[in-house]
Amino acid sequence: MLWVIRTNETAKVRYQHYGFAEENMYDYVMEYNSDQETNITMEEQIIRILTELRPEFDFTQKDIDFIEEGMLDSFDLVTLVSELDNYYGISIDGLDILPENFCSVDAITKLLIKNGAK
Amino acid sequence: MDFLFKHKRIGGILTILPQKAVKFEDEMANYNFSPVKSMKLKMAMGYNEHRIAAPGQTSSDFCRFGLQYLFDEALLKPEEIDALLFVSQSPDYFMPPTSNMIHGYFGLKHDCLCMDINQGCAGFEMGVIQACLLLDQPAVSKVVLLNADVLSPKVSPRDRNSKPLIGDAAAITIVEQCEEENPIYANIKMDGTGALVLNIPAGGFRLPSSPETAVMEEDVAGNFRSKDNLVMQGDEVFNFVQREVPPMIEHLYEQSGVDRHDVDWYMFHQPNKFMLHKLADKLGIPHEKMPANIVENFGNASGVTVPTCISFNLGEQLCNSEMRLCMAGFGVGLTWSSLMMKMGYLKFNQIIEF
Repeated sequence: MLWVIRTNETAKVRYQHYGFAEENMYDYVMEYNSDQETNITMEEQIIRILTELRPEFDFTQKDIDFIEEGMLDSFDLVTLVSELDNYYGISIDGLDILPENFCSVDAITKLLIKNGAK
Repeated sequence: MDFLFKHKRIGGILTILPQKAVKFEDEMANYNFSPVKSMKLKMAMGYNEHRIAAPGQTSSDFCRFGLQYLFDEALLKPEEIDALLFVSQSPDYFMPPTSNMIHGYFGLKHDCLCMDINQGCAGFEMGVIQACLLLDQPAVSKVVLLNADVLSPKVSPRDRNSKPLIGDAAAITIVEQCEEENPIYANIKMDGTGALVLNIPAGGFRLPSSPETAVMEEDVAGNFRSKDNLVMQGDEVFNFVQREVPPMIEHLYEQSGVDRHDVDWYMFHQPNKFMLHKLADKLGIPHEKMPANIVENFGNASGVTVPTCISFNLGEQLCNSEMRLCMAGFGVGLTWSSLMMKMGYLKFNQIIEF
């Protein structure tokens, strides 16, 4: 998960609070290279989060509707919004959490920009 | 619809929780979530632990246990009770009213109004409004408001929309007359066109329970439930809450003349942590002023979550001081309601287990 990095002690404490033993926690923590992160585009970042959420699907495909194709369900939207909020330091408006705003990478990009992501 | 009540106060709150706590990890296998997804949902939604009634325990059992505790501890006298309001979606019987059953169990006086109110997530606010309306009558000095729901038996174990969140609980709130003006600002709104967004399709007169209604069916999201089970259209509920609750609270600020920053605590219904954080962000309220820790500790017990939130987060503090609280409930009906009032120097504000 991009918002839990190996050096992030606060995040580790949060996971421990939610019942994850430290030795098990690392199974889920992705290695993080801050040099790479600085150059990543919003589109790449969205695809990365989506792919980690649903690794069985290819989110780089164009001209498909993620919702209609069943690639994202309402629980995915909750976790996706939480991760996008955390990553970009914003709070996506609850009124914007509608399926049509998550049907493609372009739609998610527009949603992020509308809600103040840079 | 707006209300203004004066010379009324909340005198005490007792929350009664089941002893049995169920961990999210112990149920995860029912939901087909991957471990990563489970952990993320646990963080975002607040899935952790919820309290479930033992088989055979009903909402009224929790109320009776709590009332007996108050009588035994001399925190309430049976003869003081002028009205008994039972707000629940899980009555003992279709008839008689559960409030009358409780009245009979304790042998309360005949000059006592018993009333069952079928309400869910806005049940606390609805109950306080009804109690205050009754207290406008000189014959009524003290109302015992019982919010109680034991709905876990109605939730399919394979319904990941509802099962990880559901909790059983009851709360007893004393609403009484007082000499101080103590204005209570309240409002309530309804939209019956969304009545079936949260419902239990079978078991009433419209569709009695039968072997056919007990058949488990899979929905488009992969949940399995029967018509005897509670069904919640989560997306619809989320959109309704995000659309209607912020304007309701903005209106409450105007109605009461209270600035949002002068509210000490926002004690809202507890559907899940994600929804509450979105509401707080929309209203420009710090997350720490709007506790969102009831689902992760006890589960969502409909109209009981607001008093539980008050008992759990404020406890003894509210017995020794006064605070300004904004409370809100929203859900089944569809109903949304809010209260702005000062609350403090309670006779009791605690949680007990049954």
